[in-house]
Amino acid sequence: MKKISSISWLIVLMLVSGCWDRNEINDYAFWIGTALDLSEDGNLEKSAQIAVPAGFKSTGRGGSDQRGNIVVTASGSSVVDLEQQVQDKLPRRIFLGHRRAIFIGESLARKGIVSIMDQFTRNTDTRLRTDIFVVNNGKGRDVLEVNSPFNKFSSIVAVDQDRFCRLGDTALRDVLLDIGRDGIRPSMPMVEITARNKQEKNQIIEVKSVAIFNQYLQMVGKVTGRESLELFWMKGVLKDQFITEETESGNIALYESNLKKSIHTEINGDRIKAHVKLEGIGRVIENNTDIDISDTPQRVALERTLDTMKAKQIEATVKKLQGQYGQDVFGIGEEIHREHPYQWKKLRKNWDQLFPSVEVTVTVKLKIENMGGIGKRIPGIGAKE
Amino acid sequence: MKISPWQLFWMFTTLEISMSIWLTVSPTIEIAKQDAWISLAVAGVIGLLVTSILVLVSQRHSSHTLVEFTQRLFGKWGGKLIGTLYILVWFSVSADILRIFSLFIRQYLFHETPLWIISVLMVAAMVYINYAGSVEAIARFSEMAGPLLLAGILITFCLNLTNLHPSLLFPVFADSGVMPILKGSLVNASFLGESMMIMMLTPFISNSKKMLKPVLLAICVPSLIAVAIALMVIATFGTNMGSALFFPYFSMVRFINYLEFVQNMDVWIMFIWIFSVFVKLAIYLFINSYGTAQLLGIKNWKIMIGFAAVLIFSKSLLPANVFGMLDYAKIWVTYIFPIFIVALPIVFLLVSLIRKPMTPA
Repeated sequence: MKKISSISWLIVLMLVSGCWDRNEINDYAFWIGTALDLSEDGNLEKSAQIAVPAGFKSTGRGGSDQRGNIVVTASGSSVVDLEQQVQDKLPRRIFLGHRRAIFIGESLARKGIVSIMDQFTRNTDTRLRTDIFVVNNGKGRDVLEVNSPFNKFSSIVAVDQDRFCRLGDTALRDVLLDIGRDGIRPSMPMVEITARNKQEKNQIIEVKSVAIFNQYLQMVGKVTGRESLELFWMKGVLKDQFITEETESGNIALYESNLKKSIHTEINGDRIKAHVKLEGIGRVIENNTDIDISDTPQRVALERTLDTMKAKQIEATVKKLQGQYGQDVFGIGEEIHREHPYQWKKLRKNWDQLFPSVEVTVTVKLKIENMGGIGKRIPGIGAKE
Repeated sequence: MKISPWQLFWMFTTLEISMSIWLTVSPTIEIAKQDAWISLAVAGVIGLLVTSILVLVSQRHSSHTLVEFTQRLFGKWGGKLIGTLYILVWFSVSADILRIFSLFIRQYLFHETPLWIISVLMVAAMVYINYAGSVEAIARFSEMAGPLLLAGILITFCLNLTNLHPSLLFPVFADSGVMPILKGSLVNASFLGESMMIMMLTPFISNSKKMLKPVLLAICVPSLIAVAIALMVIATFGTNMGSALFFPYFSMVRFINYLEFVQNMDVWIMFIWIFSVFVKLAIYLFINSYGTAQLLGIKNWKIMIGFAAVLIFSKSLLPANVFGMLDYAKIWVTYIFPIFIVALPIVFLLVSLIRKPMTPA
């Protein structure tokens, strides 16, 4: 009797418990990258980079002839979730758990991205660990269409290449962190497609600029190259960089790592001062001067000149950002918040008006720890003696 | 076999931790901002005080459950009334936890599975353990699940270290102040007050004179875990995201990416966390069926397990609101905590001191 009842229970259990959430891996369309753009007629466009597993097979001769993914685009008149339209074009169920990067076209970024941010955090299928980019002078869709020889997915290439800050896939979290605070304005890395030769065309993407946003999440400007590196250094997210300096006796290139920043703020009546200290440890990679770096007095003198030069450059960058965009992308306001919390309560509301007048002084301390395989440059030896 | 002090410690640790990593952190951050960890520490102190009173009351009536000793203190009908009220509270809270648990599992793991299936599976396990070995079996189970849960949480803490921005924890105190910190502490303090179930369990504890230490330790450990989680969540997500996310600890665990291959740990953590919810719900089922049986004067309390289980299950299906638990939490903090966890036990203690002065129970 007991056996019969237990067997009948088992049968009931098997009949009742259908596998609602059974999903075979080949029923899924893995969504690797998202692009959001504004089309000419003002519609919102959402493109998805979807993995095509059949494309993985031909790895022998390099992936350039096989794409391994397909880019699907949907558009709508308002900022609605366009997932249904994407799904309609695919034979498999879309799966968002593997999305690595989000690309926002510059025109959409300039219009404002408040209304598109919610979807990235609400859906519990997606991960917060996602990279987010603005596409410089272009559309997000174009980046998804790039067919990199290094990886099937241009989205993953962009994440790996996010060399500025090496934020990599924590960028979305960092943007969300900045959005919620009064003393800092969001900034995010930009990708661009600018082919310099035939090979680069449609295969290479570049990450060399940073987009600056205001508190309403509208992109207000961008900085490129050295200035963008300086921005992220001051923000405290840059880990390493190449520095090239033009001294009086020639130029010199360093690879700087262990980059650090510390900010100290002062409030005197209406004047707000910020002292920024930036530190790094360097390795000389090119020395076109006659300075013998292995000689301590000469090296220390070189370090000092480099420090003052770099500090001046960064101060100029800060001035430029204060004047041109007036957005505190460095987080100086947050530093005041930490150091002078009670005074900050009065400042926070009109921080955008106050920030351009903050007096920022920068001191740089670069330490040359490694000079490479030679001390004096080889052509220099003959010339001096 | 009765519950040993060691088992008692693990039982209460397990069932309190399930709440500290699940529901308390987000509302505390919302109130106390980056000082949520101070709030949670204060909550731990409140929890210790409240629990000491509860343990003192129980120790004075160590061979009786709440249903029995209230009848001794307040007469048959007065006692029955109080007992009924407590049982009703326990029924409602267990139904609510069951509901929010099923919704949570459905949201994070199984989207298509009907809600009641998840609940049925949990209820079936609860009923089984109560039939098989009643509260002693639950104690032995938590002796195994508790260390596992604790180890899992500590591992996630270590792996999350690389994601931290300690500067997000500053400034301390300036943004919140005394009142928000105290107000924020009420959330977790009231959840820690779930230790009031000790009043139903004393007859099953082997040495009730020695039960103060393990129970208080079982309030300390989850409070410390909650403090650590608040610190971690704030340093990972900041206060805005930290309070916006419903389950920030699980989001934080999801965020872990260590050496590119230790990822998606949330499934593991959820797996062992289910054990702790199971311990909590199983004890509630025990209390409810045992208490009801005593109220109604039924000798064999195990008959009541089925009724209690069906009642909890069907009540858990009633509300349509997805985050109903967060509404219930308000009722818990504003009514149940002050009345049932603080005021009434103090009354019990006073009355019992007046009726039986100085004689140890």
